[in-house]
Amino acid sequence: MKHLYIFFSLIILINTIIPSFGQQVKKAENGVFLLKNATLHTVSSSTYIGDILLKDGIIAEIGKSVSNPPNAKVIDCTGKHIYPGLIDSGSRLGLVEIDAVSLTNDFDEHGDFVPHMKALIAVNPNAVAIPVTRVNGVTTVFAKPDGGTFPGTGALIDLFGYSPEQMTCGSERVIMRFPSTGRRGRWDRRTDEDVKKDAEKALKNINDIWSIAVQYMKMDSASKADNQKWCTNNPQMMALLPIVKGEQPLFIEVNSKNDIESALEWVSDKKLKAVFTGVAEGWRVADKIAKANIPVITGPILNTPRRDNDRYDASYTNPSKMAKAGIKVALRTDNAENTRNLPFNAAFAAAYGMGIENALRSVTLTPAEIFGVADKYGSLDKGKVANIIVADGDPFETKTKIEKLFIRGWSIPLESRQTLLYDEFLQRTPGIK
Amino acid sequence: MYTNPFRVLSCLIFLVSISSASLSGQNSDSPKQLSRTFYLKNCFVIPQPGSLLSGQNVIIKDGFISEIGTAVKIPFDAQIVLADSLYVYAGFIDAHSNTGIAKPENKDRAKVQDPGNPPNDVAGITPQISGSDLFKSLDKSVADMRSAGFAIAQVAPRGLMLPGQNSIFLLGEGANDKMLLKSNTSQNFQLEANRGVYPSTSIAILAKFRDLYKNANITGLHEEKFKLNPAGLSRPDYNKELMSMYPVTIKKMPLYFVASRTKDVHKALSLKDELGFDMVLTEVKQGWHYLDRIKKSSIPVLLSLELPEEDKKDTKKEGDAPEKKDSTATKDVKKVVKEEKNPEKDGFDQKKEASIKQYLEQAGLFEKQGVKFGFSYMTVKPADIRKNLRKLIQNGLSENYALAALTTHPAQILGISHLAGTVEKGKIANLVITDKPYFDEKATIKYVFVDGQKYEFTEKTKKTENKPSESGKMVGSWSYTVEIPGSTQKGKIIIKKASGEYKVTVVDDSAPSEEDSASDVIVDGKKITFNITTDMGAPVKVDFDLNFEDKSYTGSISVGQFGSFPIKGDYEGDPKY
Amino acid sequence: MNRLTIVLAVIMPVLLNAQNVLIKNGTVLTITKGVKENSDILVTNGKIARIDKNISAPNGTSIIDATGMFVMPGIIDAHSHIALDVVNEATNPVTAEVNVGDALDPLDVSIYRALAGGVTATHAMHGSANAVGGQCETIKLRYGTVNPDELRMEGAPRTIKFALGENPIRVHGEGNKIMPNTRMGVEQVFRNAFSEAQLYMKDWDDYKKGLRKSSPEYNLRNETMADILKGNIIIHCHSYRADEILMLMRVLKDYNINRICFQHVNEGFKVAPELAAFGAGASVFADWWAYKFEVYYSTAYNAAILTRNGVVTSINSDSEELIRHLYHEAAKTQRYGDLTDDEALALITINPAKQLGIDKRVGSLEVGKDADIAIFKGHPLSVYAVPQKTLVDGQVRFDIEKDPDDTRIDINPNEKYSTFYETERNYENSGCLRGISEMLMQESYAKFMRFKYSQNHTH
Repeated sequence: MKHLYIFFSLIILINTIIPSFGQQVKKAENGVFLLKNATLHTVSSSTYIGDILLKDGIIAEIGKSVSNPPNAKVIDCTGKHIYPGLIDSGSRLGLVEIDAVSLTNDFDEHGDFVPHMKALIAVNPNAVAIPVTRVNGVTTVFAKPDGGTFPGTGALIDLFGYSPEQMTCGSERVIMRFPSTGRRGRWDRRTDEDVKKDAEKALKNINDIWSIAVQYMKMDSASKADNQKWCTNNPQMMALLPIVKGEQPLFIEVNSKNDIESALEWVSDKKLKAVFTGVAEGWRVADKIAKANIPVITGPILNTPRRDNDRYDASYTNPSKMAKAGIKVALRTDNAENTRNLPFNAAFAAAYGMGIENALRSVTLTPAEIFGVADKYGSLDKGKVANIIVADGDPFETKTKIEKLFIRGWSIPLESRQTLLYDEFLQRTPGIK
Repeated sequence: MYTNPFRVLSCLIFLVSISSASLSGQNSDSPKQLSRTFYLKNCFVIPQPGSLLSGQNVIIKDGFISEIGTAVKIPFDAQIVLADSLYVYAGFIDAHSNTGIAKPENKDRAKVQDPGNPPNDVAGITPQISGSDLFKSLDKSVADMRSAGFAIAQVAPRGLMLPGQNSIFLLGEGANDKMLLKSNTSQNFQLEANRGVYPSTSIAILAKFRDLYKNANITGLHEEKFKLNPAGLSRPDYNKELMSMYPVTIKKMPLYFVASRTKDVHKALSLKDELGFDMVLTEVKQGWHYLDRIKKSSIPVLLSLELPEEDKKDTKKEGDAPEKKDSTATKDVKKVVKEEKNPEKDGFDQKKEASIKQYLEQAGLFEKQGVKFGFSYMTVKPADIRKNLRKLIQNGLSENYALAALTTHPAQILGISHLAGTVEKGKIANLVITDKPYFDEKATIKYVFVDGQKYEFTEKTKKTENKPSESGKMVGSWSYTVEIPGSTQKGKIIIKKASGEYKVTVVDDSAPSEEDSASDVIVDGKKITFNITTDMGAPVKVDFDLNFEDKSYTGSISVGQFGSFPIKGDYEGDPKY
Repeated sequence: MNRLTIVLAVIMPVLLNAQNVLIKNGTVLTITKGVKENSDILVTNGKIARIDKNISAPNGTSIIDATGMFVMPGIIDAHSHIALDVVNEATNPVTAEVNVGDALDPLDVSIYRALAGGVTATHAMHGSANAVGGQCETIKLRYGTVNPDELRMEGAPRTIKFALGENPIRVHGEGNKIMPNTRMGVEQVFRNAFSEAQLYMKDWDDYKKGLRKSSPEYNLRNETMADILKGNIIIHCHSYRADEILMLMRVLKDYNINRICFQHVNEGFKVAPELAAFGAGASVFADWWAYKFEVYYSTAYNAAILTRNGVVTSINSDSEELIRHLYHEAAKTQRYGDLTDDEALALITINPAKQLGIDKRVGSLEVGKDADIAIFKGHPLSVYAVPQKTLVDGQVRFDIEKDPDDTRIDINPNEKYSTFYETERNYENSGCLRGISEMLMQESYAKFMRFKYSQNHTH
């Protein structure tokens, strides 16, 4: 009976939509919103039933009962669940439109050492995949270049806005891909020696770069101390400056056990702040990473094991094993168009040992901490950016519907090209005749 | 009529080989051989696996064993062979290999217009090619196999899916045609494809084979019918590939199916069941899963003598230990401890060892099941043959069966039991003569007779035996000569080994006081690569790539972007530490 | 073969050998006959003998306690490339004669990983490089054997891979500069191949009737095309765009062929009424899109739209990654299109069984069917569901309680230590273009491929 009911209600829905074609596209709505009587999953503290007031782009009030300002739109959320917007800590969203059409790929610049390539410059605010992603509750992603050893600087962006300025969360991070001793694929037929040799060469390369960067920093500080103007054009080194100065962590992409161990040595040798990303085999060396106190961004969780002799669930259990060892773990999809699957990646981590609460934190508050924006993102707290999702249940659960979405306080229509195609084609007119 | 271009070629080679063959007596550099009669006195004879006769005398005459016994009449023209107390075995028979067939040169393939329909030779469909046209008795591989005790080989042309037909040769130094025992004995089939053209995968090779097989049968029958009564029939097209395949389809010629791994063996057995040809499984490395099936259908099997490398971890540790300096020693100990703590790796290694064991035990298992097998030698290095046989014996194969697999079994499989495989009067005088029983660890081969012709092997200098490994031979001071257009550069390369690491320095004669230390030194077996950076106005990197052979080496150097030049040199002495 | 038995026993020490099993007290999701709470399933000789409450176990029956668990039919993947050594013979636009059944790989550890996701049968397919690809093999995931024949699902109908659009055009038109270089060319490749087969059949008919004396040439390619014309082979066609889907249906109509299932069929939703009218099946991704131009205008609501329009629809993996959680992929149709539980589960059970012509044997829990069964903790459509046990023909092939660390069957004796793949294996090892990836590593393509290996799709 329920089935029929849904079917009929759909038909009614469709019939009401069809005549309305041609009307204006739905736009995001700004204003003061008071969401009442929802189950508030704050992440930072407890979960309780209460109200939340969104105003001027931030969470203006949150509590068991928030009083109703005069101009607020009051939305009854009884039975609904409110969560902070989910954060994907590594994605190419906005930097690629269609993978196979290379001219729509903007994440891989020529050159092995191009840390000055800024993802924020190339993110397309109108990428079709952005609305597709956010209607699943993902409000913020770390859009990152990928390719060579220093492919560029990624940017944490909110998934609403029409310019980089409107989208940026103010956190950009330089990426380095640590020399790999793994194989690139089954087709990689290099000898073991060659693999080792290539990795050694690459390691020497990053060591050279590092020592030049240190010299650059010294010259730069010396010129500043002397109050001299230093005429130079070295954007690569400029990009590395905050890393060398220790102001920012370097995001180091590293995956295999051996490489993680080498990277740990390298980081301690260079005495730099680091965040490890990828970390597919973190579980094999979790204690060491924990001891070095290096945060980790890992994913995708929905991934095959990297060795033939690995357990089938090696990727599913990796985050929980690392978290249990005391590592700060955030999750990523490392995807572009299907960044929308972030909640499902988190859910698999939850099901395979991490637990729902910790998995939720790993896509909200923990990434906010890793990106240095925990004062603004990652939890339902007064004063934080109003990125929130309203759902009819647990947002990780496949069946759950996201019913409302707010980014920077804007109420975002739950619409994407994929939903529009559904609306148009569920009952095609004309049909077959 | 189709003229085989190789026939012309082999005639030329024939002429060349006559003029250079030292044993034929034509060469005026050495004295002429007096006779083809030999007398082996008082030796142990192993006429066939499982029996041993002592105090035997053997007479060889005109290429055959003419007498054998405790008392024999010695012909007046007999040359006496110092064989007292030596062991005389039947010359070994290599049932399948590419012995004597030169590797094809790497020529650039002309781009095929339509990769889906390439010409047959590009597709690897050349069943008409005969190994008998390609064999060269003076090829190094012949001498290598002979020095390992082999007197007969069934040789296959090199190629792809249907490389051509096998022929049986004596492994003497005589003229190619004279060494031929039997031509076109069998067809070969292997799942080897030419990349990028049809058939490029095993599934297409199998599909193509089915197609060819059916059409070979249709074509052959049609031709026979046409010969009897052409009325109403279309005139048959002459198709050399199909006509060469036709005997396989009517079971007049067996198909040698190269099947190394378990899945290949399965493919071979399935295809045989489907089409019904006579088959010999060859190059089998992992065939034990199908032992029952092989036994039931009495399919002759040739096991590959190439075996997986066992882990040398332990021996290596021992070998390296004395060289360790204090500081590195502690570091290494730590490493070892760390490795031992890894139960996952231990599990991995255990499984691997178990896997290796299966490969090594296969021959013994086949013996226990009574499957008559020989060996094939497509991939094994001749120098490893005895070592590998001993490994198989350590893992359950009996010595008698091992010997049978070298002699009587392949003779049966090749259909030459009446000619070879045992030490008997009237058989071809193919003998292997050793100082100790062949499977004894310290046995060496003293003589090999092929077709009544004696080949003597003086004991190899044992100087290299003290060295711990192949690569140990590189340590030393070596001269070098580099031919650069317009000039010749000479100097020294000094290779040292300390704490398990190689250090290489290069000194050019033009500036004997300047030493260049090499970096990125990598040793791989007999090969070493390294580079130096030298100042030619600007720093230029020079890459060395050297291959060592006993007391000399050859190789190449590449100098920045200027190109690559040959380099060679000889051993001059120990390095000065 | 004692040695083999011993070795396998070491590798899989745990798996029950019995094919007589009683699964007690689970929530039985039959798919075709509703949900039966607290029910038992009796398996005899690998077949489902009874589904009822409180069945008592006959002698020699092992018991699996499924209290609190969900029991569903084994998942069927209508599009997979696991357990294959070769996927593409990419040298000719028509290769109907090749058969991936000749390259089954029972040693592929992906089989075990799929079992650990509740999958019991897959459609092992040729790739999509050619307009007419090779024949495919429907297999059961009987992991533990070394014999490729033991994977085959006895009696399953023959199937063949066709492909439309970018892949055959890229490989042959762009790569080899031969037809097809356009979707117009793709159509003609089909028409030509079918017409050739008709002529071929006539030649042989004439010969058999004695109208000609000389035997015609044998041609396995034409033989296979002729078998399609005779209705003996089901076509599974890689396709994306609505126009090309319509094109193939027109071609098939002209040649009187009606057994077809479209694969991927990302724009199937646009022509759902036509697919339903033709009786064509549709086997789709849950949510993959935008990896190439022809899937840019896709929607994750595809499966729901097709289902609602009466098309027999399945959700497939085409990936050794996705195959491990097809239950989750099916659940996505509840987020994107509100399918009911039964409808969503049918997408990975009875519907793919219908598309492969094996629905009388598998795809639902019914008396008389093969005991291919997956047992879950948590409802299989919940994202938190964890597969517990997977049975094929009543034999437990995956058991989370007794799951060994290293499940490889065949160990390469020359491998130094285990190899780490920087990228997931999907890139090359599964997916429709497997085997020609290197060929496609051309200048213009290298960049795409380089990133494909951190991605899931090469389809």
